[in-house]
Amino acid sequence: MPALPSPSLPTHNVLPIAKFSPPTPSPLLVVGSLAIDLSMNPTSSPLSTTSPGRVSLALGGVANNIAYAAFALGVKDVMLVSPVGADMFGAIARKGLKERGMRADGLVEGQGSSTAVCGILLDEGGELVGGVADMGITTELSGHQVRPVLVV
Amino acid sequence: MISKIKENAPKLVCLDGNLSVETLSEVLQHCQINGIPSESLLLTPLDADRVPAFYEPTSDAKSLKVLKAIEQPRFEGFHSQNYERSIPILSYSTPNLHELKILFSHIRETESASIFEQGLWFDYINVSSVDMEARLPKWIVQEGVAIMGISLLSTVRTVIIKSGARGVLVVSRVSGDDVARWTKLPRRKGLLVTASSGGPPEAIVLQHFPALELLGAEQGSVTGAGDSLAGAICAALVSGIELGTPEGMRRVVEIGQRYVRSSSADVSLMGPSRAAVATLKSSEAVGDFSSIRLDEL
Repeated sequence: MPALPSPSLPTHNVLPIAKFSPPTPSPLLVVGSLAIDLSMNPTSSPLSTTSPGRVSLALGGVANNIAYAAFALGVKDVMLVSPVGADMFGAIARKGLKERGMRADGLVEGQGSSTAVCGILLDEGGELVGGVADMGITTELSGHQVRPVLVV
Repeated sequence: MISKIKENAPKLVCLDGNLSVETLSEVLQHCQINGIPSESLLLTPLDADRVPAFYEPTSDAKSLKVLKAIEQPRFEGFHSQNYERSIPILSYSTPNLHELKILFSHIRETESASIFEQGLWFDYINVSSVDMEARLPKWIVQEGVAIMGISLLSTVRTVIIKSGARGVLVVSRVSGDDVARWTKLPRRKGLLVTASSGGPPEAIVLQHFPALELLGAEQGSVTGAGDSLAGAICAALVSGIELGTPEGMRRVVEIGQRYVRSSSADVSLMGPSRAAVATLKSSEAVGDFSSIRLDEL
């Protein structure tokens, strides 16, 4: 336990005062990862060449999952603040949110990086064979990029 | 000006562990300073005028990012300014047992960081281990879960510990008028309220909520179930339910648990991007922290 600081009132020179508000107020901001989940489910093996099967897309990522649960429970204007790339997957992510009825104005479009995608290949029994996770964009999101959404 | 900011501010900001330490830190800073009139911090009610922040630890490896974010230089001095009130930077977090252990170990090992010290309020509260053993399920005491949760209160006002089939343990610091709402409750199993013996009214509440039936043993292992629980809790909180009251805490946890159960079909489809994270989770046991004593923290 350190010595008590002097009893004088604090001075706030450490943290500058700043505004904190999204362009259109939302009661709940969820900041983090949004990813496109791409699953390949073959109907036959071997998998050494292309097999017939199903290829499906879904929205994933932790922040997306959280925002979706809140949305499903009635927080209709929950704002998901996630980075997407200026690419086709980014457009799919935007479309996916809108199809759910969620707002997409919290998505932050980056310059270089691609939208987070995780693609997996399953075998015909549904067991994971392998996959590729291209998820770097979320850690590349900077406070500077988030700020326009957080601060008017 | 202040009222304008409050009017536009979200009621809750939730952050996941995929963000960088720097970005987490910057957003948390915004949450702290929103609307606080600088000259009257000690005069305003605890937690008023801030945007509450909620952290989903995400994975063993990523859980620590939030502590690293709080260790950044921008928060230097924050804690000592608030020493008497000791306002935790995070309002809520939802670690599982593995993540809790990692967060606890870091706080314990980072003795030099005053940011993780409990404030003066903590000196007035002595959670009796005899009471813990009498009132809470065995595993919560024997595996040190209660102690680990209490140690996080310097940083997180309400720790919601996800324990799969063993349910949810909420460890929370309640203050002001809420304290009396808890202390007047009859003693019962699953709940332990310890109020401060001096100073402003404060209490530590430990409450265990058993897992809902039908969830069974698979609850903890279903990929994404934790995200759904976090999202449902966020929804309950922004709907205006006050977690600081006994009825509010019960409702928030119940909403979370019921949503996870009702959406378990969806959750099992929650995709590979989450599974990729989940594979980072270690399968080792949570460990035995029963020898740790409260007065060491």
